[in-house]
Amino acid sequence: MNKLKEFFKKNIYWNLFFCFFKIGLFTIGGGMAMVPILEEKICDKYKWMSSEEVLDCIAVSQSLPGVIAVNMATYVGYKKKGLAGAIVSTLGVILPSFVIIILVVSFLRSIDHNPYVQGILEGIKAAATGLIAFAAYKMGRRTLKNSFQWILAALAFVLVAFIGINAVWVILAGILAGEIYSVINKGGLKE
Amino acid sequence: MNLLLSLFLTFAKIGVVGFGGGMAIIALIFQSMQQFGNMDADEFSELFAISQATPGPLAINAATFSGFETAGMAGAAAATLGVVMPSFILVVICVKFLNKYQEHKLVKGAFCGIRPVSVGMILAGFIMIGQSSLLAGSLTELTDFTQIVEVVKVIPVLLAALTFFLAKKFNINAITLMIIMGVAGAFLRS
Repeated sequence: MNKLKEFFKKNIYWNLFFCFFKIGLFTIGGGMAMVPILEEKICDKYKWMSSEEVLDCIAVSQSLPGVIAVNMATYVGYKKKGLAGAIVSTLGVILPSFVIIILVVSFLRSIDHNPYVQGILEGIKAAATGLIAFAAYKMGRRTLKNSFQWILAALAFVLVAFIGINAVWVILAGILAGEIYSVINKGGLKE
Repeated sequence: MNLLLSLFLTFAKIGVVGFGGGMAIIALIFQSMQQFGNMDADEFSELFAISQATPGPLAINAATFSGFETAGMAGAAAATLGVVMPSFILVVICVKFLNKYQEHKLVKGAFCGIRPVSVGMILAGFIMIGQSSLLAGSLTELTDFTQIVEVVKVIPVLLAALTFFLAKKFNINAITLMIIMGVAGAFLRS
């Protein structure tokens, strides 16, 4: 029994699968909703990646086609444990939706008309909204260290949130700004 | 077998062109599902409602739903694997490349710009999700200040603020907070 417990605690493939299973289960209200859980589990709990690496993962996942949450799972899984890690993480993140949709379609088609279900979803979406704001705050405090970074973050926010420019273009512009900045500062980040 | 293969390929195609996930992919799915001849506008709105009312990424929900409606459990598996396959391959190639060149000057420079942009986009995600979870209309349509109570959903705003506060002050984990607020939401509705 203890051996079994030890296995589930230590086995990296199981941890990847279960971590992304939970993320899939609680991604309610869009891909960004998984960022708070991702950051909490991957930087703080398992220490698989630094905050900076999680930001890289978010940007790459946004720039590639497909579902952001699934891209993030594949990214983290591959980075941690290669192809096998990518497969277990990806299956983990899609399994909750897969099972729930089949159950809902087979048994209770009118789930969305139940006022309690609506209340629960409203509460969870509100929590997700608060958590995303908190994730932005936390990641910002950890990774934004100079005025170049602050200005870039603020510009990206305004362009995506209020002007409605596609995230891919904003990321490409960010890459360009980063290259120019590195050339000017000879590759070194100024604190 | 043919049906499963064409489901897989149809959804793989959707996975290739579906940038940005969510809504964009749902529209594509509706267009391509008509070729299987078993999805009308009513079913489409049902698909949309169920996808919204259940956890998980919208596009995965929609793929599972359409595959299941067309060819049962095997169809659901074919469609769902189809929609994730292209991005799976692309992400793997991308990470492989980044791992190999992570010390390269150009890659380092790129990430030095990407990271702050990423922080900005998370905050933008807050605005986008907040528009549906916290507001019932558009703030820009307000003509005078008293109308604000009609547009702002009071309970969700309070729950969101409470969530932020609890996460910051007591370091409560995200999933626990979502469960607490879900229960609170159900009680406050009734």
